[in-house]
Amino acid sequence: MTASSAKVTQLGAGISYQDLGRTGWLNYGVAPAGVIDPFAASAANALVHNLASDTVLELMLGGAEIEILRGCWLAHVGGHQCKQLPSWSGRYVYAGETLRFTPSAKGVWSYLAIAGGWDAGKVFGSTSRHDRSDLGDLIQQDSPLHAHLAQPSPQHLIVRRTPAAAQRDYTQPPNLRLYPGPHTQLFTDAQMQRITQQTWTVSSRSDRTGYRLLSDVSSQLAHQHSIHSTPTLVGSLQLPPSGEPIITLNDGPTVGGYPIIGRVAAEGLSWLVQQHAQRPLSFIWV
Amino acid sequence: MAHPFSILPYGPDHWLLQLESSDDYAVLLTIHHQHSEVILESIMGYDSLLLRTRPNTSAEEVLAEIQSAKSSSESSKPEPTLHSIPVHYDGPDLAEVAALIGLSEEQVIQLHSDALYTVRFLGFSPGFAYLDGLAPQLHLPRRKVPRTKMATGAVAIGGSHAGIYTIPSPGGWNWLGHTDHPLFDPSCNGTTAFALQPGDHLKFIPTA
Repeated sequence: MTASSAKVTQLGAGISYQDLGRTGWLNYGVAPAGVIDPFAASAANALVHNLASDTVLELMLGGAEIEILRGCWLAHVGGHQCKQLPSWSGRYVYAGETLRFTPSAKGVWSYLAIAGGWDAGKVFGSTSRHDRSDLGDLIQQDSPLHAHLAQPSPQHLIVRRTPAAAQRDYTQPPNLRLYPGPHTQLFTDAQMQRITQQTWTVSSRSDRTGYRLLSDVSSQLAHQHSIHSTPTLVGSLQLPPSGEPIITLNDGPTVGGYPIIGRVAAEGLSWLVQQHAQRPLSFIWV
Repeated sequence: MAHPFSILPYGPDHWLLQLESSDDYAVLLTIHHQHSEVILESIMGYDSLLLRTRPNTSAEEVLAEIQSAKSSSESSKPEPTLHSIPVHYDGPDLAEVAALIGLSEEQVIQLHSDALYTVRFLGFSPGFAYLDGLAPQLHLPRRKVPRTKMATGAVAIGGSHAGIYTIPSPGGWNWLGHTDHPLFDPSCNGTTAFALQPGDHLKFIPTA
């Protein structure tokens, strides 16, 4: 084992190892897990010349602090504020530096990539941490963090940045594209249109298992339908009897008992998850 | 050719085969085990099968693929395994379940352990099997307030299903007992981590 590159000195709301997740295990009841905003994670990996599949650290909204023990190339992309390493940039950080991440109004999740990827055990083909099933290594207070493949780390002062045109302003989400799901026929056309005719906000009861959406007119989508357990996918839009949709995300259960009326397009999910409560969102049917 | 399911859209490259009658479950299991160059992944539900297909595959092509594989009988549907699961009937809800249906605890244990169960599908959490075959007297609603933690090995019933919790998780099912029989072993790091497969049979053996 190589010497540690960094140490978590403040866990904040949570830091986890994530990669692109476990694919092919849904039939066994294993949730995919994996980076919840793949766009931001892959931008962070790109800044340190990694593959998109390399393991990153995912920071949940809330403060976190990471102390650097050995000089290395790091990159940060996401919704947090970090004076030492601002979002959409990467640089050589020196031993003894501390990176402080604080919440910002911009977005919710941030990614920290290290040249060579972070070192974490693979289970079912992925390093991604899934809390409920205890799969993947757990990061705790004072956990040492290592680079997976030690890279030659040229020490120079040039900062790398994601080109401005490729950066995302999470406060300006596009309309989220929504594909019809298997259970649309349980609802009237007027009800289906209502989904796209009004704006929604993310409920504070949202996490890596799923995002709940709120609106003034959700009562018009209230219903009594129940279905047998049906496989869900990341992005499945389920409609509970209350009419307040739940969008299944990476850590959600692999089956659901509510009608699945749509599936949010992948690029829309990476916008959705970065939205704070209260910010209005709209859908368009594909 | 008539077929007992509809092929419903489920976003890019995914389709849901939805049975019209949940009794036709065997049809799904056969399709699930078919070899295909078009169907890349197949996930069992209770009365549905989720298919991930090659990009730009139409519903007609999915149907044609299923039927051509069926006619060439290229299914590798495995012989179901019979699992005997020893159970200690010491669960916290056993007395309440017995009282609710007006039977003794011994009668509840007998009803639960006399049945031959079939693994309908795996889901909810890793290796968690939804078991068909529960005696109708034991079809009870879930608990109004779900428990925040059911232990690994908790043997429980919910609605028309029986099941065994494979990891500690919240759950609303009635908890009848526990088993030490290994059902999910992540250290295997592969398909052998899962003891039960859809289509397998299962008996509960009461143990002191």
